[in-house]
Amino acid sequence: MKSDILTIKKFHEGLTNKVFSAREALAEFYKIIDAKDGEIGAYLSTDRDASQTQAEEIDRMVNRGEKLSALAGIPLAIKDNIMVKGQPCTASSKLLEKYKAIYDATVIKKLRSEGSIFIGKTNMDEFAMGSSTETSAFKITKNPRDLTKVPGGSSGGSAAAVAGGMAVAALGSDTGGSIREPADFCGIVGLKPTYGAVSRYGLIPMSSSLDQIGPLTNTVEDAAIVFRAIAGEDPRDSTSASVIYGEELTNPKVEHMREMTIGLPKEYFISGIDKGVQANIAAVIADFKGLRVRFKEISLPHTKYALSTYYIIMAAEASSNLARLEGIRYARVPEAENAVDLMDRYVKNRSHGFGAEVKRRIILGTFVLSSGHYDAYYAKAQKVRALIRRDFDEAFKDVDVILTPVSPTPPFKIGEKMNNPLTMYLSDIFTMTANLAGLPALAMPPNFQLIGKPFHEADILGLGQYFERIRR
Amino acid sequence: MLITKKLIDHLARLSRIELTADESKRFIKDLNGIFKHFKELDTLDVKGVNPMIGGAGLKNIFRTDAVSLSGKAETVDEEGYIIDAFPETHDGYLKVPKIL
Repeated sequence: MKSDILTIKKFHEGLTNKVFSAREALAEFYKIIDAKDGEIGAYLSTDRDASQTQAEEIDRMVNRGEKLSALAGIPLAIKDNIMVKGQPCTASSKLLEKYKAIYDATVIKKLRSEGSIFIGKTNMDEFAMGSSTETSAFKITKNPRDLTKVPGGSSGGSAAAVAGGMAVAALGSDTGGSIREPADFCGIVGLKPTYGAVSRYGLIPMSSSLDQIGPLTNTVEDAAIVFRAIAGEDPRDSTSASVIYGEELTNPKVEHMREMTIGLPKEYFISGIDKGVQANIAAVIADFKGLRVRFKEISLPHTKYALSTYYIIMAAEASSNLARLEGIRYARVPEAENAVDLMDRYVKNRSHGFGAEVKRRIILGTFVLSSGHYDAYYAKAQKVRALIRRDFDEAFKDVDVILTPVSPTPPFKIGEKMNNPLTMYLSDIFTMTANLAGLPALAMPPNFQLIGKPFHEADILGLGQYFERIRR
Repeated sequence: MLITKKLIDHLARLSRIELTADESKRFIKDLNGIFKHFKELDTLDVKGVNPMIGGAGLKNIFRTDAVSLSGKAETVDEEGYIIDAFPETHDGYLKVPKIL
């Protein structure tokens, strides 16, 4: 049964043809989790009772002969910064260790109405701050393909759950590459949607102008199915856009793909990229050329300023978003029990509740927003961000999609980059520009990323599905 | 050196975080490294560029100012659930630590 249940499409066929029941499939996934997750560490919590109830309901629908949605009965892993009512939601922080979600995020509500099953919450970097899942306050997640390596991050638990066969698909969040880099490191597919395509309601925010929720899956087709289900305007997220997606996501037209021009930005093909990654990208380009897809060299001249711009904007927004965690409303750490006054209570909760990387970013953000430094850093970064976006707008006059590597390196060893934040930040050098410019981007094996025009997810998902078919 | 011991103490105070001696030493080093990298922005002239604020080109609009249940609750029962989720409660009231 195992190989029948690892893609949404196959799972759906098996379920509707009564090859297996939703309960049997769920039991199989928990069996795999019990056997493997002690070593991999993808999940922080599982909710077996609620999952069982959901699976029973799906089986009753099957028995009554009701039409099932493509996502009915599909076991999904959810990153632990997305609210699933009744399940813990810790963002891998000690400060939220005991917090349970009291409502469903909009994406969960949408998937619940499709009949998806939320089997558990996955490990991540604390408040999504990291590229290796090593800043989690609770545990290290290992890469299922090589247990000495990191799974990437911050959505490392979600990537490891899918790559380890412990969920059919997963949700993650991506602020600077947090879906795409772990997908790449674990050899699966990850989609960061256009800013505003998916509601952020119910996502614990890191950087509100950069964060997007998106799928991690075994195939591009699955990513398209999940994306289609979670996208859409939401009155509870005023930055969500009123764009309606349809069939074009999951049923791309081959003729349309062949008319596309792919841009290769010279700033992304630099020295210092791992040789294996380079070879993979060259092979991908050759394969696309074999399909008669055209290529064009382009320039995105402000790329070199992206890292600084990203870190200033992200830290500024994160420091203000995390101000709400004062230890009164959400959770309290034991060290703050004997606080002498309110200020002491705030300080004790935050000092003992946050890990080192979170503190570092809060302090960085506080600095760039502080009077006297605001114009030189934050205000300037917002202007450079406009220039980075303008680079893409210009490039998209000539090309439909842009192809780049996902990460400059393959997965690194656990512990290798923890003592040097700047080297760790460089892991996201090719992914963060899509967040700054608000563009959709797809990471897929082997090691490549497709960046699309705003709300043109169909272009990157279509090319991705086309590529996937010929490679198979 | 942009980030000094005095500045890091000030920033920690503004952030409502107390740093240990070790953390303070490490952050001075880390942040100076990071700010050295940020220097590259100085070489870029951004005169006349309109800043990109937020992740999309949306304009602000206001919703009707109407009384409704909490955005998170859809039924009165769920309001109770929200209260229960608070770290400490008493008879449906939210209990906070003594602050004065």
